[in-house]
Amino acid sequence: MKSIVTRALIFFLACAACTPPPLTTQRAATPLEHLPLRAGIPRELGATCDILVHGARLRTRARVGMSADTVNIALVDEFGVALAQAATAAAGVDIVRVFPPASRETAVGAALCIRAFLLAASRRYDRPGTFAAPLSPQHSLLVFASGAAPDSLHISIDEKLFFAAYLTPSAFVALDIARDTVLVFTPDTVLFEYR
Amino acid sequence: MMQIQHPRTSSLRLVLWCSAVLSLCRCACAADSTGAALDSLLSFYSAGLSHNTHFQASFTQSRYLAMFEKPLVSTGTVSFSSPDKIRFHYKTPFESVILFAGGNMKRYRVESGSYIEQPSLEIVAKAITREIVRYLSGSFTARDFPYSVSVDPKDKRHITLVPTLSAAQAVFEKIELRFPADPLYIKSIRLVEPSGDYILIEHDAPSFAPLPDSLFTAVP
Repeated sequence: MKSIVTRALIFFLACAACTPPPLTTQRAATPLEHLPLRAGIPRELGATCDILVHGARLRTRARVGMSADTVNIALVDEFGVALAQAATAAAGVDIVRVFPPASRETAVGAALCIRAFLLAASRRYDRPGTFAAPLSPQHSLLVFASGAAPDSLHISIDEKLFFAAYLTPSAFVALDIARDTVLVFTPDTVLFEYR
Repeated sequence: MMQIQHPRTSSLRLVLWCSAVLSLCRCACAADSTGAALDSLLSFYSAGLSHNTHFQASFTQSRYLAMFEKPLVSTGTVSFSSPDKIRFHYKTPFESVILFAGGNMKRYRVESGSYIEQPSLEIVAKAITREIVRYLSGSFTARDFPYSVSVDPKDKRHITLVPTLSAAQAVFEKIELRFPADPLYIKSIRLVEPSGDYILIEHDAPSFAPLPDSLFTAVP
């Protein structure tokens, strides 16, 4: 029973997260950098990260490191094989390495989503609203926050919705509307506290 | 549960241990740079490892990547049955099982007690497994062993394998193995990539008791 309730909740959240934000909303959004930076975000953190490979969910270990303007991401399988390594910054995504079964597409999607998640997590939401930030020359991030933490994120490419994501206290789930769930990122550090 | 050893068993173990240490010392003393001394040392390790047809140990695997300060660490249990069956049961950071038997490999993630088969493993992971099986079975003296081998002159329990095949050279620059004195097993495996990134696998609490075949072919 609990499982059905949980699934229904996830479905509801997924639908909510997948609702494309109107372009007017994007243009009217407050720049994310207007929000104050949060203290205490670790420079490096571990996670489990489920990615979609050939239609099947593949569980990987993840490590994320942050410097001033770059986020480094590695998705590593059980044996320690680095399936994807990427560095992302405002200039774009630099794929350091990709091994099958991960693909370049998987690596770019995961890198963009995780950087979006960390950008959103790096701010203190002292007011509700819609906030925007550039992710890459082609991608932008839109954050919806109704309280002290963001509720959902949207990543658009050339102002068309590309990814949507929702957040729970323990996980970040990014969805690709055209396909399926792309990424479930579960950090070993709690980055959002819901009251 | 504490096991009480019969005094004769303890004496026998002591004799075997002394014999092993003496053999190692003999090999070590004789190990100048000659091929014969190296062959003798490798034969010693090979015989010691192949003597145990079953091996089980807990392991800690640390993945070091230059772009991060801290390694990615996972822990679990490895089970091996000579000549070519191996099972990795990862406990952290998430539970998963990898089975390798008769050249076939399967991977499962475990969620709420259910085993969910994962997409097939990539070539590199299969290659790593085959190599680990090769080391655990002690086939250092096989004619087709595709490595050049050297022993650390200061520590005879530390050997370095350098791949001789170009396909393997593209993946690994070298593999380092460490052996404790007693019991004889592979304490650690360090797989170093050409970039300098590496994977370190450390074994603890070894056991050589027989393992059931089903452990390597099926999940609950």
